[in-house]
Order: sequence, then C-alpha cells, then structure tokens
Amino acid sequence: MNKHFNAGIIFDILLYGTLLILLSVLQTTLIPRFPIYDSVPDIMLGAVCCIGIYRKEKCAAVFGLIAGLCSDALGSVGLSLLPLFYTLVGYFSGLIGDNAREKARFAAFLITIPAVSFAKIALSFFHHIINYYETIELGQLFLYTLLPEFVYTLFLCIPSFLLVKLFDIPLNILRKRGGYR
Amino acid sequence: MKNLFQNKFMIVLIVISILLVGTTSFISALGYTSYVRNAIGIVLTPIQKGANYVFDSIENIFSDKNDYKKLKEENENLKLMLAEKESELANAELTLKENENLKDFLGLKEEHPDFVFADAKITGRQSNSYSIVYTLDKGTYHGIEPGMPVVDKYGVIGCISEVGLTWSKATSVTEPDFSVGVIVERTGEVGISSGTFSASKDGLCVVSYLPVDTDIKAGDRIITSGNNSIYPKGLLLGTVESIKADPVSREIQALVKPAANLTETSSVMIITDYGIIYE
Repeated sequence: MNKHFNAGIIFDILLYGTLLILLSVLQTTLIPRFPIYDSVPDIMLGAVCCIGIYRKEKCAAVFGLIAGLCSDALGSVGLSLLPLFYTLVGYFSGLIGDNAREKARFAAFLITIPAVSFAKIALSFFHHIINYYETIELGQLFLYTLLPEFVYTLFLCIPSFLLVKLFDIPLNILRKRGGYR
Repeated sequence: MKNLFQNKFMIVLIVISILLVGTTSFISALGYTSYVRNAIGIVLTPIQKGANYVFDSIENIFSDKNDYKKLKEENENLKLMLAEKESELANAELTLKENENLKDFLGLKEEHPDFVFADAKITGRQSNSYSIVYTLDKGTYHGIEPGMPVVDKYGVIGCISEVGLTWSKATSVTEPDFSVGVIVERTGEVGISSGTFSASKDGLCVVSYLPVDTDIKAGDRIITSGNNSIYPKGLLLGTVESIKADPVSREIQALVKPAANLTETSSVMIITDYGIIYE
C-alpha cells in the first residue's frame, strides 16, 4: 500500500462523506418543502446510481449502504429497507457502468435511472401496504403518491448526477496527479 | 457480468446491510433506538438543524420581498386570536379553570401548571412519501422518552415515536400508528382518533368507535379524553370536518382536521410530565 493509494482513499472517503451528508441533509430539510401531492422524491438514488456507473460497484455499494443508514436515521421510523436497497442499487449500477463504454456511461445512467426509480416505487408501495394495510386505496395511491414520486425522483436525478460529478472534479485531478484509481 | 453470489465483498456487504436492517427494525419495534441510528443522528442532527435554519432564513427573505411575511404574520396573529377565543369557549363548556390561550405555549403552561414542557425545534421532516415524521432537536439527554405528547400552540401534533441522545422523531396525528382517546366537546361522546390512508392524504384524522346514535356534527371540537392515554385531558385535537359511515361496518366516523399546523410549524412543545387527575 503506497502513499498515493492512502491519500487517494482518504480523499475519496472525505469527499464522498461530505457528499453523503450534503445529500442526507438536503433530502430531509430542503426537498420536503416542495412536495408534489405529498410525495417526496429520493435524491440519494441518483447519486448512488451515478457513483455506481462512473466508479466501481464496490464503492457505490458501500456508499449506498451508508446513504441508506443516514436517510433512515434522519427521516424515517420503524422498518426501513433503504440500506439494503441502496447497496443493491449501487452494486448493479456499477455492473452496468463496467459493461458500458466510457462515452456511453451517461446514456447508461439515463437508462438505469428509470429502472431503479421504479424499484424505489415498488419499495414505497411495500411500505404503504405495511403502514396502511387496512385502509389502502390503490388507485389513489398510484395516482397521487407513487406516480408523482416516480416522476419527481426521475427529475431530481439530474441535479444529483451533477452534484456527484462536481464532487468528482477534485478526485479526478488527484487521480491524474497521484496515479491511483 | 460478475455473479453477485461469487463476489465475497458484496456478500459480506449485503449480509451487513440485512443485519443492520433487521436489528434496526427489531430494536425500533421494541421501542428503542439502535446504536447505529443514534450515532448517525447525533452527528447529523446539528448539521440538519443548521441547514434548516438557513433554508428557513432564505424562505423568509423571499417572503419579505413579496410582502408575504407581513400577510403571514397577520394571518398568524388572527389565527392566534381565533385560537384564544376558541379556547375560552372550550373552558366555559368544560367548566374548567380559566385559560387564556390553549393554542399558545405560554397560555398552555398557565392553564396546566402540572404540565412539564420541553420546547423543541423541528430540524427535519419526512424523507419519504409514506409517513409524516418530524425530527426534533431534543433527545434522551433532555429527558425525552418515546410516547410523550407533542403539541404546538394550536393543538396536538403527535407523539414521540423514537428517541436518540440529542434527537427524537415525532409521528403526526394523521398517521395510522397514532391513536388517542378523544371526546366530542359539545356532546361528551367518546371515541378514538387515528390515521387512515385516504384521510392522511388530505391531512385529516378519523374518529371512530362513536356511539351508534351519535349527535356529532361538522364543526364540533375534538379534545383528548385523558382516559388510559399518554395524553392529558382537554388538549385540542381538531374540529370535525365531515361525518361518514364506514362502508363495511356502517359505523359512524368523523373526519377531523387537526388544529395543529402540521405542515408549517417549526417549533413544538413536548409534554414530558403531567399530573393525573382521578375523577
């Protein structure tokens, strides 16, 4: 393990840690101020997916696990599958990124995002069923909750993507100088 | 494509996440908070609080520009005045002690000298679309415990559902997890208020188990009964918006609009202790 490698890992952790805190705080303070039909989008999803596609699947999976724990700790109670969900999203996004050519990665991101957003909606549906199993109204649920959440999450994946790419700039500079991956 | 089950690192990571999900949910179901959640909450809640303050300030700047703030304040004052009058009426009807303002913290303190309050700021709101959860900046360090009632100057907001060292989470009155014994102030009929899916979407809660020959009407005020409940008697829950019969059981249910400002409130009071009056 050389000096450059250590520096790179520490820099990675610091930057992605900051990004994680920023996203968690935005998710629980800014985003709930602008709900659509009471639906809150998931900005973390775009970030996990982007890291998966542009970096290694392991990095994205670890980021996803911690992102899920942070989201849980700050804004939900009871049963939450977010840590597991984000871990899997990170891993599979990473695999898609590995199989996409460098120039086709943004396209891969655009294709992956609807799929993972749909998976998130499925998770949301599961939570609704658990929380409201006695009084659930499926039509209303799909029309006024899940659909807005899906569209809103898709829409906010682009700012999440840009934020991750912004945090990637110093990492890329360090990578070029230090020669680590 | 690499096989997920041949990747040792991923297997370990997935096992860790499953363990974390399982233990956190299990501990949460027992009414406790896991160490992981607690630690993350301790670190992130101050940052969340700061960010919330910044966004509040920005919101206020924009409000100022549009003269909206003045209108908001005027509206707030009018709401307070209205709340004050409604409180006086409630006390007269219940022949209780004199109360200046049930919807004002100070008034509430004066009316209930036996209540012990802890004020708290809302630092964050729900991170998902399936529940209304508030993150508060007070925790076990400040004497907060699960189940404690949370109120604002207008009425009942909900109760503490999870507590960390320096933070806690409150579930709103419109959530299905929440239920409280209530009285229809005008008629004295008792019922149980809780949340349902469709009602919570409209920001309402449902009062069930009313008598078959109930005389409840739209506009009736609903207050907490205090019977076998975590809530003291006489706190305003809300006003009846409409009456409906349950399609299955034909039982009469009242849809109640909570008096508390569930969407815009930024500071709340937690009732940490109160004297129980035996009648």
